[in-house]
Amino acid sequence: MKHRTWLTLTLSALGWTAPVPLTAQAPGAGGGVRAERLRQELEARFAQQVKTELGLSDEQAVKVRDIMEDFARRRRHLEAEERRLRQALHAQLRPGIAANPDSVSRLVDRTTEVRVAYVQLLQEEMKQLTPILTPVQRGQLLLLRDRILQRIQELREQRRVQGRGTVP
Amino acid sequence: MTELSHLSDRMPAVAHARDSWSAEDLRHLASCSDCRAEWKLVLTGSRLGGELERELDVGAVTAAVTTRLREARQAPRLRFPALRWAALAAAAAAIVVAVALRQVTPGPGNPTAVSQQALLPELEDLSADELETLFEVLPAADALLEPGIPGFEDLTEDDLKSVLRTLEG
Repeated sequence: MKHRTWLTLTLSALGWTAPVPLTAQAPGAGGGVRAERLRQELEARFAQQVKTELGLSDEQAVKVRDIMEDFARRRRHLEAEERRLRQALHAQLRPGIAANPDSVSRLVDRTTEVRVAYVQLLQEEMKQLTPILTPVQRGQLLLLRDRILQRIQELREQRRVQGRGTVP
Repeated sequence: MTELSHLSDRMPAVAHARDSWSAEDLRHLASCSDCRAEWKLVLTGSRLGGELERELDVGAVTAAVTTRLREARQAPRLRFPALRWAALAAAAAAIVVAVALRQVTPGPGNPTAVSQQALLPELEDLSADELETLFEVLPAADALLEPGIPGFEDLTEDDLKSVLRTLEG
């Protein structure tokens, strides 16, 4: 354990442990400067639309942003875990290779847990926004985000159908 | 692979924001003092030199180290082998620090540094081409109200009644 710790610590400090580009998070995933620039632009537009479509005051905007950032961080962990689980599941279910039933069972159980946790986060976020936003504003926010998440889901589905990556 | 080694292997990536802990990982870290201590060490290690990065001129350091090495080769050899090794180790350490600092510097080359504050982590696994298509559902703010198309505030009472009648059929 001690050797491992020091080795890991040293490599970590040097930033030399198997550099994992963003693209490694999922096949077809968007690393690179262009993708990051687009991501930033989309984030900025989303934040702007939340403010304008909901008609937020400056004070409301700050509070809403704080809450949304906090929940986005938590969703980020779940998203990353689900990507890992999907990769592992795909690895187990490769054609021509016998899957390990116990592993598959664990992966499926954990994946569903993660998805439930994801929905619970959205629910909890809406609860925390209740004292800040009116019911109409909450509805607008829900629809705005739904529109984006639905499109993202479509893109992932397209990717899966086109077989561009092993991870849908 | 055991839970311990699994977490240990991923610690550097998480420390550099290239990976993240799952809920299960966090639970384990909360319950295992060994792993928690290891994670604390890794995290601290990954931040070493963070304060220096603004002041360190990587190019200058590299040039200085190269020059010094050249001089060392031309100069008479040090008497004590231990001192030679120490000089080499110091030079290597300087290069390593320079390289490491370049790798951890946030900026355009390190996209995750920006993504930490993002509101839409769901964008992270999308390619640039896929991201492009999302502009359809997130048009620019000025495109939402195109110039030349009047908003309701520009209409008279009669106009508004007319619009209402149209909407009501």
